[in-house]
Amino acid sequence: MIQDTITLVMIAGAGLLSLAAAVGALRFPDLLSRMHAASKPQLFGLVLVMFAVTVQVFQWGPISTMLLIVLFQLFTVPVAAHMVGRAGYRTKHLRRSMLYRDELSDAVSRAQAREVAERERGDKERADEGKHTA
Amino acid sequence: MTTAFGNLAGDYSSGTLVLVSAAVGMLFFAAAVLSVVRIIKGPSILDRMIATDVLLATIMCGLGGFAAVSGRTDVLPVMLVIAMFGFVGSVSVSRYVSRSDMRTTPRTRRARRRDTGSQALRASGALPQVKDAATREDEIRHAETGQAGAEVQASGLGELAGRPDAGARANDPGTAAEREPQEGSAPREGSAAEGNGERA
Repeated sequence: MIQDTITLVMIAGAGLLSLAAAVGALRFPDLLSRMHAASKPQLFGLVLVMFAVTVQVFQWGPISTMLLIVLFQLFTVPVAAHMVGRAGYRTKHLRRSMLYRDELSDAVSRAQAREVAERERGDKERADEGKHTA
Repeated sequence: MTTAFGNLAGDYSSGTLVLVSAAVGMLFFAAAVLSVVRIIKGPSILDRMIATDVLLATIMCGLGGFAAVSGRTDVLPVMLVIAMFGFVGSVSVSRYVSRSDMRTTPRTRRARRRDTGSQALRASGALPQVKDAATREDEIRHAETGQAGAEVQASGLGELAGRPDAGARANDPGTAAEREPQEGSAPREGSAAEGNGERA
């Protein structure tokens, strides 16, 4: 009976966390805050559900599959969230006045200046090669 | 009904089990509906991608709940595959998004959210001004106008420099003929990684 109570409580917790993630993704004003709200409860809800299944079915086959699922999500959800945030940041359209501090803009503008300089150098080299061969 | 809840079905009436399962199912359903609303509303493709991730995670948790209540574990490989799809889709969309893909939903008057808090504070001088990379890029471009001349200005390099991918650069009409994506992406990726690595 304790088993079943634990299972029900964990599944209910996962349901609440999924709801929190969806409400956060819907109600937050900016892409980056939505990304925060969507990725964090998702992982924890999955862990709770996996605990619930483990408590009910204690065999090594399902347990290894569940471990695989949780490890996969643990490694990939932060990567996906980071890439979404990076794309949203660097395309500039999604950055609004809601930022209080922008600590990344220094590094980004430096990298962009470096890219511009490299591209100029590449253009000049190609132009010079064209002149020589022509 | 033969479920994994052998004890619960024995000690309590099956009403408790059905009630709690139905309530949790309603929670998952509400989460799914809300994320679909964000998929419809989301002004950019990245918003839609995030909401799709939430939807997939909700589906995974729902399947896990189903596996726990009914005791069948053959839905676990399905959850693994869903997780993989979610990750691959998220990463590929964010890798190849370009500036022209932003704001795919038309901006209506009700959809505009004005943030008056930080703007008012910034105007009064209580908060420091946030100079984003757009203003800095303009400064760089204006500074370069004397050196590199009209060539840099005309090819719109200042606008191009921010894009993290090769697919978006091919979209730009003026420079598609000149650019070789493979040659350009290697130094760009390296410098972008350097730039982000310095901060991290």
